[in-house]
Amino acid sequence: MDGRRIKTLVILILLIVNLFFGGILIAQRAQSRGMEAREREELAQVMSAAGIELPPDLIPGAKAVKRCSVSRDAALERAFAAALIGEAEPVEQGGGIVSYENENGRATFRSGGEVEAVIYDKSPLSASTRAADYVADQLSGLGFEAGEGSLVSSVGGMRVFNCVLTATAADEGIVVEGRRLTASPAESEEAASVSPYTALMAYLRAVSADGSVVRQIVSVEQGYVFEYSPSAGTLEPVWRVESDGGAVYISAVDAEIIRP
Amino acid sequence: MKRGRALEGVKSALIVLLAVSAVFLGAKTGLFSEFFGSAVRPFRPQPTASADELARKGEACRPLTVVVTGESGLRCSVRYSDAALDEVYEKLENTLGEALGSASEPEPVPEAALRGALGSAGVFFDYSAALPLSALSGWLGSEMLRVNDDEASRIMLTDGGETVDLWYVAADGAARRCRTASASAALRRLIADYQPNGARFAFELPGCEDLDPLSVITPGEILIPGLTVSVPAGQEAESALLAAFGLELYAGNSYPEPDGTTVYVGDGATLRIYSGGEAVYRRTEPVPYSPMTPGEAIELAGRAARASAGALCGEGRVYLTGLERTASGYAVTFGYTVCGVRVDGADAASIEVSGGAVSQAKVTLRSFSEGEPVDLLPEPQAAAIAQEKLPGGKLAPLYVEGGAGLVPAWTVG
Repeated sequence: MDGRRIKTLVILILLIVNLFFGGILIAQRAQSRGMEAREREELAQVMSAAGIELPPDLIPGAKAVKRCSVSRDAALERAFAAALIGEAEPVEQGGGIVSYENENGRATFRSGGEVEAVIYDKSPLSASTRAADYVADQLSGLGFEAGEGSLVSSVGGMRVFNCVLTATAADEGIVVEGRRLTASPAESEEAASVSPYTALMAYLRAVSADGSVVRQIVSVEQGYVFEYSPSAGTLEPVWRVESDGGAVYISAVDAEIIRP
Repeated sequence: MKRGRALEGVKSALIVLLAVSAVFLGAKTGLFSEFFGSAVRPFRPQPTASADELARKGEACRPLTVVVTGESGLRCSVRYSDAALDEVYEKLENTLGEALGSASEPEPVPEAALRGALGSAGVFFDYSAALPLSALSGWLGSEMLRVNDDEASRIMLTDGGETVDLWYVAADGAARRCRTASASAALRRLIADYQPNGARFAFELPGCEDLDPLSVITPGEILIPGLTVSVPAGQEAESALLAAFGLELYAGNSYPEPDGTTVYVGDGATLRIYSGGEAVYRRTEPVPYSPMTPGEAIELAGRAARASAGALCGEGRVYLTGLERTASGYAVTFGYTVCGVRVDGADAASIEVSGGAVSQAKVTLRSFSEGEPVDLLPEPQAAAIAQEKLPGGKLAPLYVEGGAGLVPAWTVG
């Protein structure tokens, strides 16, 4: 058999293999969609039996995310301080507390991500420029977006729910307080595998155990929670389930309840 | 001819494209994920143990009693439960680390000032042994900016307004206070989480004036599990002991002695494992002197204690009981606790360190299982009896031999 015929044969075989795998993929996707629809129905029934209203369209699809480690990035802190008050030299106060101060203001950073800053000049604020919008503008490129009166940290397009800054106009200036990620996160091996359905079942178990009174779930959102201990900081992928009774965080890695 | 060559070229390109597509689609289906996973796994960088090791630093040095005082001056004591002690400590370790790290030069204060501070909003920690504050700060993730050499077994954080004040009773018995840069907000949040349970200090209770004034006395029933004790033995115990002292490679280098003792001979060291659960490690070659801080000595000894006695003690834990300087280094001792209550008897581990290494160690292996709960005499009654027996003594629970296992009892020391 000459080379040309062998090539033709190989192409035919590869075409069949591609069609075979493609067919399996299509069947898998169809099966997955069917399973999702069934899970949605069953979950709605279980919630309804528990007296909780869960609009089916609230349940989002899951994004592939991983648990991340977060260290402390001194350069990022310095850039954060510079964005608010301009350049200043860091002063170590011990205990992981670092402060910056100059004629424009002051900023203090702690090892757990807590930050307190004051920008002395309030003149940029006006009826149309809120403190949060102004500060968000100053911190653009550092992972914050302006929310409802606050600045929300995000990673990969998903919110870090307990990394929120508030910016308010006070007598001494624009006061910025809250928590931020201490560094850019580094992905680990532990992928989040908990589906929104598993998370909602874990939520149901938690509220039943607590005896909480919940009538309606108002949002189900995937995001992160920043957990810090002296040994390490981690960005934990979570599902945030908000209801008329408050918000509960469920780990997207192991479906355990997290209390940030 | 040219057309033929062009056609062959297209076929080759098509083959490559279809092959790549087949691999891609095959991977997406997940049919071969197990095969590819095992092929790739040897080449994946292994996660470092550093975060886990950091988490275990200072694990043998947690408090056995924590008292949370609210804004009203009412208190909640946390003890007799590893889980509850871990929970409160983990909520506060950042604040404690910040406070120690940013502490000002300590100023001596009269005992009356300390007692007054105990009545204000804050948290009191009673550790099992006097800890070097610089070492404790390091284990909590922050270095002391103004290092002091003080050691303390009783430490307190109080709400000083915007920042936290740090108080402690030094090894010489004197009370000291430091200002810190740690914010009070986290302390206040924790304090709000705890409901009072009537805990008081001995100096506040009429009729307890003769007890150690900082003994914590809480009314109410106390139920602590009785314990059954066994002696870990066999392959598991031997492997843990060899690993604890870096002799894993010499597992085959052993010989038995007539009394049943197994002797392992390693590189400049021996390990004797006796039949009753005791083991003695000794370096046979001297290690060159190099200075160590007390904190480094505790960490080095603690690693060996955790890996040996701590790995085999069942529902118990090892905790630091003492630190002494020797001619060449330090002698560090560890005991056992279960549910935050000390266990009477031989030390879990007694380890001498010098030159950055363990020079000799004695380990007593025990494994503890929790049994039925046992009623312990309520603390107020125990306090009344204790101060008659040993005025000035500290009231503390202890597991002692009783019946088929160990039972909790009160001790004054």
